Amino acid sequence: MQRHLWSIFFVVMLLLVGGCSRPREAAVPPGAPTPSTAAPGAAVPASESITLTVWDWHAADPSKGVGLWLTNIDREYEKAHPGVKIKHVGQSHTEYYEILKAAFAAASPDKGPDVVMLHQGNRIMDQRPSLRPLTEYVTPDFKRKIVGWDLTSDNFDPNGTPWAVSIAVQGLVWYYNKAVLQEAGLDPAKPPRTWSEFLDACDKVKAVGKAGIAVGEKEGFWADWFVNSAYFQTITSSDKERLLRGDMKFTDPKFTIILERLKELGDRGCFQKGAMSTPLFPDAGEEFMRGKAAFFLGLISDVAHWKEFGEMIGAENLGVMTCPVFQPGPDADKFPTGGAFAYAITRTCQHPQEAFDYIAFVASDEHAATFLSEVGSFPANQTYDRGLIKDPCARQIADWMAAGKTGPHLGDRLPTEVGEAIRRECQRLLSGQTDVTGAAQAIQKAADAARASRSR
Amino acid sequence: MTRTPGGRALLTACLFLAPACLLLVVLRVVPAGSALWHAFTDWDGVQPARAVGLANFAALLRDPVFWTAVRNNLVLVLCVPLWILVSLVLAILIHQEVPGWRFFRAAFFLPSVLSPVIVGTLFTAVLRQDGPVNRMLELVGLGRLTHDWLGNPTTALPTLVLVILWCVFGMGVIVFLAGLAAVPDEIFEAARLDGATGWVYLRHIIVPSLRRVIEFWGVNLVVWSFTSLFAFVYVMTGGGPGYATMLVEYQLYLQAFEFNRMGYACALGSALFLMVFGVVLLQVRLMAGEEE
Repeated sequence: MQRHLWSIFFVVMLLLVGGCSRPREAAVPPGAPTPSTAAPGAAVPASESITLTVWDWHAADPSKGVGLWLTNIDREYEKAHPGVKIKHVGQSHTEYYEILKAAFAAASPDKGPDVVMLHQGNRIMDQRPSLRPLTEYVTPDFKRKIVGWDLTSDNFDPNGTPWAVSIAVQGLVWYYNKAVLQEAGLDPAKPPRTWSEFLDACDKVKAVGKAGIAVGEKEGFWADWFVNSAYFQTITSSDKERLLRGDMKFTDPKFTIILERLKELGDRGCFQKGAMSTPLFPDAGEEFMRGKAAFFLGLISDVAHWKEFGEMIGAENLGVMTCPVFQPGPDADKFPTGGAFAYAITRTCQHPQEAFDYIAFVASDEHAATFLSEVGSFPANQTYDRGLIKDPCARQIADWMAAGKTGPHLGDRLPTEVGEAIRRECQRLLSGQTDVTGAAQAIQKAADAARASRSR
Repeated sequence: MTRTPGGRALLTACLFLAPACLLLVVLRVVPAGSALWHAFTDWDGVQPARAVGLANFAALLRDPVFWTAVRNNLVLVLCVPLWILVSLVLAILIHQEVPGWRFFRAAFFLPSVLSPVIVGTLFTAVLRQDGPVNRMLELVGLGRLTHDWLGNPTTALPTLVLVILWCVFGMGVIVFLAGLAAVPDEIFEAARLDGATGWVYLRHIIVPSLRRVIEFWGVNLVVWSFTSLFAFVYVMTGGGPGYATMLVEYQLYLQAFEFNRMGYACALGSALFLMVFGVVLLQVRLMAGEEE
């Protein structure tokens, strides 16, 4: 009996100790040597088969859209590179960064991802300790073709150390339903341009029993988008730099006027009922697609965009405009771009050269064209032929981009905590829990705390 | 040691306890100790932690969101008597075998086996502005009472409390039914013969008979209200509108996984532990004092 007990004890101990004794790799600071066994650039012998694990949130649904596009590219890549297998792992978009963080903390070279999809901007900057700098892989020719380096490189400087390659361009524009405008007695060929025209249009649409704007403010994203869509009117690019450095406050009238306009929309009843508890995706978008609202502040790529809306309400019924102007100025009709997805290579990746080859394959000229024609999203590789675009709204957006009517998405460069504070305070503002001054002060306080936390 | 029967028994006991103790140490004590240590550091979860002394706790005390979350948590604790009372009354009715008691016993328990995510999603749809609750109010001529239940800061937290009640009361009913089954029927019989009904019956017969069960369930609910409501908040409100339904555990999640502030999140976790410990200790003391 006693011998049996000892045997059981030792087996249990062995199992436990064996399970717990896996050495955990130390985190590597940015710029330090990586744990790779293969030197960057080293070719994989033809006899050796390698697997690149790619994590992203689009592959979760490989049957359509970006997921299908990526699946096809994976097949093409494997065909063109017989020694490389692509293992695409679709992760939940909602918990993506939590899962990624856990993988980075485990720092397992054989089980973790080699290539990861990230949102541009601070999401990339926050992950730098676990990413591999791409300086040695990005050639000048490659760099010229792709936009968005300012959102994937150190210090938001396009010439800084690059950490990821942008694949898509995302942006915020205002869509309108021409049929609803017509029903409200408005001219669909002349959408409102000034703020007063816009409020007037919302009133008229409301009078026919529909909502002016389809809003989903449950997560606070809609108000955040509004701030980003409107800030060009009052905040110049030098103001923006001062705001990011902390030299300009969020309590400055140039910022608070945006909150005032936001509150005005809420107070005037421009939103559909229940907007505060409506999720932006997909509910608010569906509200617009069902013709229950005249306007929708939407995206230019992936979802809630011209392709999705055009397919539902008819491309001929869909119009696109930039934010209604409450403060005329040289940049008033700009719209923000950024916040799309990019691919980066992890520090634990064993085959960084192959990983970069894969990323470059995804971002190639050929796939940029299919990204636009098949997915209906704007690629970061700007070599695509604008003549391919048939949809009137998409053509309008492409023309605006070609004419330089875009600017950076403010939120991409703000610390995550400040972005969260803007979303929460806008919710409080719209639900009557605070006023413009209180909201601006709270956002400033969050910005001060974030700065203090980062300087520690 | 093993030569004596007592020593052998002790060794056997130790051997049987060792795996459980080891698991407890590895899965509970070490992570808790690690979290406590990291509460005094600036750590993003990946790079090495840097000791910052009490800075995280000082920041916590100055954080208005933390105090809002604490207030909301305390509101939930104040709702615990309501959650107990509803379960208790329903358990008594089932115990007295009111018509349909078998059906109700099963029906009441059903929500307890549903995942909070399912319950949250269900009620998010039911409570929408154009959802069934508001439609029903309109149908019965109470259209003025329709609300954006989860989007209005004054109704969001009370609505959340009611949804949690719906989810949890069934388990309470089962716990109290088990307690009632252990009480000799003669006590209830004697009380009825003496004419005890309603409040008197509840206050002087049921509550004293079930004191231990009520205490157990009360402590459970208090701990649960601090540590297990994340899924409801995550699915139904995201802590909003604004911070109207923000709870400490949800703030902890945001700090750890949204803002990469693991050190601060560990400080929040430590504060949460102290709060739960303090409230439960107070609760146990109060109940013990009442008993004496």
